[in-house]
Amino acid sequence: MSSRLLALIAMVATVAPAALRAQLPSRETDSLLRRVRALDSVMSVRTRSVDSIRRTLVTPIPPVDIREGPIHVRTDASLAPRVRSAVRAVVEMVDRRGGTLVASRASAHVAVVRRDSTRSIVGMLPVIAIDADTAARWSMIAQREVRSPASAAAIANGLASIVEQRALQGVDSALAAWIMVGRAPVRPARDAEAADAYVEYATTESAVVRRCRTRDIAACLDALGVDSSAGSRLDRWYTAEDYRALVRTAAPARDDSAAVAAWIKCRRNDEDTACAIAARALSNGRVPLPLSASLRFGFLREVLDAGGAGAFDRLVASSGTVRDRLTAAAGEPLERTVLRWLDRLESSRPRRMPIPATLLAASLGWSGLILGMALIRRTSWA
Amino acid sequence: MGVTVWRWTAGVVVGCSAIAALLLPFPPTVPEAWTSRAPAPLASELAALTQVAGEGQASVHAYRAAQALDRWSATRAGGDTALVRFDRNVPPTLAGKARSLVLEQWTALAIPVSARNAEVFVYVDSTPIPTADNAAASRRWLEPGQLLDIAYALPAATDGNKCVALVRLRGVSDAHVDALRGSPLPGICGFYAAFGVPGTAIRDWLAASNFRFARRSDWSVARAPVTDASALYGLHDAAARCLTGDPHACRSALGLEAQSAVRELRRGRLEWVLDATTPTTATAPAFLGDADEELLADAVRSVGAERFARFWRSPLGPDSAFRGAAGTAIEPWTQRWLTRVYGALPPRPRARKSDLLWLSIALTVGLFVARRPRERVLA
Repeated sequence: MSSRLLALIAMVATVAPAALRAQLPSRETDSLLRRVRALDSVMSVRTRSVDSIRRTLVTPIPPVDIREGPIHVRTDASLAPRVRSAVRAVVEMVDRRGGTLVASRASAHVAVVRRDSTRSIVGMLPVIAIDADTAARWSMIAQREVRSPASAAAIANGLASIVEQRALQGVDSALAAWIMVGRAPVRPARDAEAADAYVEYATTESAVVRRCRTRDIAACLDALGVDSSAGSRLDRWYTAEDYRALVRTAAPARDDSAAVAAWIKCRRNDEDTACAIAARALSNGRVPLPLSASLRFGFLREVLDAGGAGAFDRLVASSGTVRDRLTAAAGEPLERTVLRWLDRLESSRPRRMPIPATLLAASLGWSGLILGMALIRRTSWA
Repeated sequence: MGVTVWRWTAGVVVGCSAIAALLLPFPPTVPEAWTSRAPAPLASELAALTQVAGEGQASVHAYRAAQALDRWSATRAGGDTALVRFDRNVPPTLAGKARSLVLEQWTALAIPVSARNAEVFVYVDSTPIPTADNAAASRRWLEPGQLLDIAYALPAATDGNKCVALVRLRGVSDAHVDALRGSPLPGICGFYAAFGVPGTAIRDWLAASNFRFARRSDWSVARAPVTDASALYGLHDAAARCLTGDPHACRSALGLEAQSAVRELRRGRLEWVLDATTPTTATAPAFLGDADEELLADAVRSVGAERFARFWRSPLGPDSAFRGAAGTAIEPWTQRWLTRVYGALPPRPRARKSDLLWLSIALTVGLFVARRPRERVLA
């Protein structure tokens, strides 16, 4: 009996430590965990120290306080008249397209407009810096700079761009992903933007855009990413004739050596077969959107214009698909908005080869100067 | 009054002076916000924070590695020799799925592999490391959120013989299994499985570069030709000069010139555990550009598995071993590899025959005109 007991004890003594070792952390692991915790405590202290130093680094806020509607700005006395008029312009923009949501988001911050300087090739250039907040260093929105001396319109443009970004902060990810550019269209479109949009719309090599140009509303909505028809992106948006252009903007995955070789051949030799292989090798996610984010942004502006006051509020507050939300914002069937957007796009065709007045003046000036010098050169230089 | 050279020069000087008078003095520099350059106290505090954060991250890796090795040792006591091993806490259904995924990756190496020198060890551990301060008041985390972590324990960290890919699953859902499918599991252990334990000199050479050249064992995947024409401009000095055919630069880029005190650098066994997610630039400079992790995998494909095995197991230094196994020196081979990966050097600018012809015609005409007697132009 005692020999059996001894044998059992011996067996337990042999096996148990190994089994226990498997279950319990080793001494090395324990000591490493202690080190992790110690370093974490140090990191915590250091983080607080950095925060406290940052809080002490405050630059003085400019003295002039300008407050109109939801816009609140601090600036210098010398800039105050222009900034006041700029703020008025921005308030008008917010009233027109923004609504209460944009106004409330804009009113939560105090922008700062002051003189600053920036580096250039020939030393420092004076600029007017527009910070999104008095706590500019912590703002997610980058500082705007306008070349000095700046007009009230230029300052208003900078301020409005900050408001546009503010408007989209906190918006749900589905809407933000559709808008793509991270701001809401509060400002009206500039002529150059409209002309660029026309050029893109008229020249994009994509089957779905060509169908859109023939007033196929469903195709326009597909190209704008509002509605998706059935099928892969490649089949929906591009045909074989578009592959050459498509392959210029998208490349197959690097691992797919056959597709990459075809991609190179397509770009170098314009071989249709190679272009087709390279295009077909693109995964669905890599097929580029037929219309850029700026056209999508222009369409959103059209939607907000159609919806009038409160359109942006409805866009953000409504639920459902992007189409449902845009319809709610526009306050009309989206087909009607698309047709109006197409009309506006087609009327934005830029003038061919416009000659800027400055270029004309410079050409005439130089011609006159050279002619004049030729006429007065009566003697040789020797 | 005629225009002479002197008058012309004077006119230009006066014009330039007028422009300078308009522009100068340049506006004074308004002190910029400290976003561009932090003030001294903040900079020093940030540096200290960065340092301690780096140490903290390293200690977290070491802790997880030690935990994984403990589990591996305990499981190993059970026994079998297989290319994939599971901890006891891995549910059987998950183990079944994971086993086929891991074996698929071993098979994809397309070279017979052995469990003698390598294996993949899978375990489940979803426990977080609690932070020092109150979790409610702090948003700091000690480990980034992800589905799985992979580390490679080299033989010096295991039993002296085996490279173990330590795969920590942070959960048991399908998403975690899918994450296994998308991750390159064999990594450096693929070399150990296919070619055995490297010679001491080869190991020391690899250790000097933190095993950068052998991080990927996907030699069965054909590499696409270079697609980015500007890639070669991102190469560091030695690699760029190697691309031009300078053999000394190739040696320098390969780290063949300075293999100093490697053993002193890696004292503890946990220092032989490589973390797959650590940015390689954080541990060593990019010796041969961003693609240098593919170097030895490409060498396997280039010289063949049998010759590469001779190189890998050779007791000689890497240059002699490579010459002996592949029949070519490692420097020109590296230069060819760089050319294949980053693209060939653009041709040097040189005068074409047509340029020389036109230049000589212009010169002749110029000389002819210059030799003509000058005539005074009268008003």
